[in-house]
Parts: sequence; C-alpha cells; structure tokens
Amino acid sequence: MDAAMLYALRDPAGIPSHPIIFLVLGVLTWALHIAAVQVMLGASALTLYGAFSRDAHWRRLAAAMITTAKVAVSVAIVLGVAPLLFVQVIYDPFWYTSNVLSARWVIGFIVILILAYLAMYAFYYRNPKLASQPTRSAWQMVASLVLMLVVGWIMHVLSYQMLLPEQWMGWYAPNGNINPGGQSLHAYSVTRFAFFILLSVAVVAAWLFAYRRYLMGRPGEDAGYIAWLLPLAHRLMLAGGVLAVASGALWLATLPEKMAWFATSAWVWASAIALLTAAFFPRLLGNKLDQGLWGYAPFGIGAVALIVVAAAREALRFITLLGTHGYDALDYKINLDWYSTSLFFITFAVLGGVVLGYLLTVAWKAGQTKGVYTPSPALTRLGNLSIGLLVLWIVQYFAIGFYVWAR
Amino acid sequence: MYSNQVIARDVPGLDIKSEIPLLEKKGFLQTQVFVPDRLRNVNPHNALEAGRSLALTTCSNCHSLSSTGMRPLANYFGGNTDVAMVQTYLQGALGTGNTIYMPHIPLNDDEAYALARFIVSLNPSPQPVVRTAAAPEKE
Repeated sequence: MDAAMLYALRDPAGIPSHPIIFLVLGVLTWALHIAAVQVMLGASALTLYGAFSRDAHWRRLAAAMITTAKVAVSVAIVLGVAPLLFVQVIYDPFWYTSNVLSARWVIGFIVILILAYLAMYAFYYRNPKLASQPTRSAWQMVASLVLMLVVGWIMHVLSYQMLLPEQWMGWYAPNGNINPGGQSLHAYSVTRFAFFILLSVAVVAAWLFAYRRYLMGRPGEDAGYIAWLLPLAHRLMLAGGVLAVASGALWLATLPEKMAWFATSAWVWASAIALLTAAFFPRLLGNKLDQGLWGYAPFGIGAVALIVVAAAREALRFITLLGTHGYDALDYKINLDWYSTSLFFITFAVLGGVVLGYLLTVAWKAGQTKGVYTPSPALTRLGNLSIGLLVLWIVQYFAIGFYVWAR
Repeated sequence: MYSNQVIARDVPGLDIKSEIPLLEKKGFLQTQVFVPDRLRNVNPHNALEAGRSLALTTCSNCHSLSSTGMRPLANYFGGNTDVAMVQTYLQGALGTGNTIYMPHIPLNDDEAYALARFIVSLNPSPQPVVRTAAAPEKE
C-alpha cells in the first residue's frame, strides 16, 4: 500500500479547519477518554474486591466504587466520541479501512458495550446496600468487567490495524482471494494493550486520593474510613507505577521493526518521567495531602501525565505513518469553514464551560452538604444563564440553517 | 457522490473533481485501491473473480450479493443466464448513467463482461450462456 493509494482514500472534500487543530484536540480528548476508562476499570476491580470482602471499610469502598464505575462508563463513552471523530477526520484512510476489515467486531463493539453496561447496572440494582448486606449476583460484575475488557480489546485492535497498511491487502484478500466478511481481528499487541489497561491501577489510586479529600470536606464523615483510604491509595499508586513502567518496558521491547525508533525517542522519556512523577507525587506531598486542596493534586498531576502519554501515542502513529508510509496527516486539504470552526470552539468554551460549570458545582456542593442543599443566589444565576445560553444556541442553529436554505 | 463512493460531478466550491472521466479512461479495476493485483486485468481465468471484485466495489453498497438481505443483485436480472445480454444492459443502461435511481457506472468491455459473468453466476440455474467468436452461443 503506497502513499498514493493512502492519499486516494482521503475525503476529497478536505477538512473544515487546519489539521493541527484536529491532531491536538484528538490528543487532549483521548487523554480525557482514557482517564475515564481507567477510572471505570479500576473502580470496577475495587468493587469486585470489596464485594468479596467482609471488611466493613472494603464493603463501603465497593459501594462507592460501583457508583463511580457506572458514571465513569457514561463519561468514557461521551468523551470517547470526540477523539473518534478527530481521528477519522485526519486519519480517515486508516481508521475506516481498519473498521471495514473487522466490520463484524465494530458492530459487535456496540452490542458488547451495551451488555457490559447492563451487567454493571444489574449488579448495582441487585446490591442497593452493598456496604451493609451480603453481595448478590457478583457474577454480573465479573461479566461486566470482562466484557468491558473485550470492548477495550476491540478498540485496541482497530487502532493497531491502522498502523499496518502494508498488511491490509493480505487481510482483505489472503493469497489474492477476496474475503469481504470482516469477521476477523487481524493484528494486536498484547503488551501495548496491557500497558494501557494496567495504567488503570495508578489512575484509580489517584482517584482514591481525590475521593478521600472529597470525603474530608463533608461534615461528620467516618474518620476511621478516611484514614483507612490513605495507605490503600499509596499502595495502589506504588503498585500502579511499577506495573506501568514494567508493562511499558515490555511494550517498547516488543515493538515491530518499523516502530522500533519509538522505544528510545524523547516521547518515551517524557512519558516515563511524567508517569513516575505522578506515581511519586503523593509521597512527596506527605502530610500536605490533608491541607487545602492538595488532596486533589495527585489526580491533576495524573491527568497531565496521561496527556503526555496520549501525545506520545499520537507521535508513534503520526511519525510511523509519515516515515514508513509517506502519509502526512498535516497536509490534508483545507476548505476553511469559519462558521463551523467558530461554533465548535464557542460551544466548547462558552456553552460547555458555563453549563458544565453549573452542573458540576451543584453536584459538588450538594455532595458536600448534609441534609437539604440550597444553591446560593449567584449559583442560581449561573443556572439561569446556562438555560439562556442553551436556548440561544438552539435558536442560532436553526436560524443559520434557515438562512442558508432560504437564500 | 454516489452511494458506491464514486464522485459523479465537479464541485468547484470545494475543489472536487468528478471521477467519471478517470473511470471511463482507466476502468474501476485499475483505479480502485482494494483490488488484488491479479484481478486488475480481466482474462478468461479470473473473469468471475474480477466480476465479484467489481460487484463488491460498485454494487454491494445497495445490493446484497447473496440470495438474502437488501435488494439481492440476482433478483434484478430475471434469471437471465445470457452473459452477453447482461453485459449489454450494464454498458447500455448503467454505463451511460441512464437508469433512474442508479449511479452512472462506466464499465469498459472487459469489466462489463467480468461483472456480467459474476451476476449470471449468482443465478442458481446450471450454466451461463457464453457467446464467443468461435461459437456464437453455447450452453
């Protein structure tokens, strides 16, 4: 598959803004997406461990983590759409080919994800008092976690097949005989998959530090439980750091020849430094963890580390496809569309900022209050502003559409 | 853009060129990316497979190539097993873009023959009718 063929698979209409915008947004949104995925996986694992434990603290943690996991799934799905869109804009020859070559699994992805989510909710509804009553139907949570890993595996394969255009024809027409069935997953890297999955141990540890700090802000919380969370979070962070470094090293050691340059690149060093910093940061903080908002800092540092890892992952793709296959994702034809580009950023920054800011503030403050929570007048004004902005957005959307249609 | 991904006319505002002239000049098998090399030129040994490749590229987005599913391709030829007749239809009606609700599919002689061979092979009847110079019509 030479460069001319890859370029022939591009969308002839071009893209509505400079490709660097899609590249950078792809990295940032993928980092957010994978953070939600890893919180979900880690929270699911903690739920399972707690569900099989008789320890009161573990059972309380399991009850908290099942609610975390089910919210994290929806966040992961919502945040997963954005990087999916960005990758299919500038890497469409690769993404769509990979999808069509494994078409049945792409469709299966949706079905399996629905089953995984249903199993998680089934477990949640079967165990409304997980902290104080024996666990029921634990198999549902096991099934959910296994199926979530299966959908992760499918997405891993689709992303990995993108990087191997030299093998596409062999998969589409083995020995020259066309097989358009799309029934196979053709290429994978167990070590790459393991790295991103095992990273969830460190991510959920960072989450536990933030969870602990959140509980400290609530009046009348169980001090014994809060104290019990700290060494658990430290242990998980240490184990997560070791697992990330070990599995990352294994991934780098098993890179195919054309990607071998990545193992010694600055991208890997930057990622290793970022991950180790995130892993040791809570220990460096020491007692400061209990002061001010420092308790949330490990998750913030972890998020930055994930952005660095996401950038390295993107560099591996961009440089491999450019260097080995002559495909430059940044030379995509541009048909600049100022309206859609402006609308995107205004929606993201203004509408997203205000509406999400309102919703998160209400959820936050309600959770930190015992009894009935009444928002302050300023927060109520923010809520009214959110509604006004949403209405304005809907009106301008249809007004522009009508104007274009009518002129 | 037709549903089979062929761009049928120029769109000056987006700097998009019609692909029809290129297809008329070089054919589908020479210009499509996902075609095995051994099928890029039609010969008596690969005509059926080349026809299947063409059907996958140009027809299967709207027509199922099996007996079930969405608008099975075989159902539109009334059980006809005459390859030359199907080829004439393909080049006369589809090749000129004169069939309503159907895209313009400019097939050269070899490609039209290969696709006709494949379409006829979808029919459950025993043998296709193939006319050659030596034997104008043979079962």
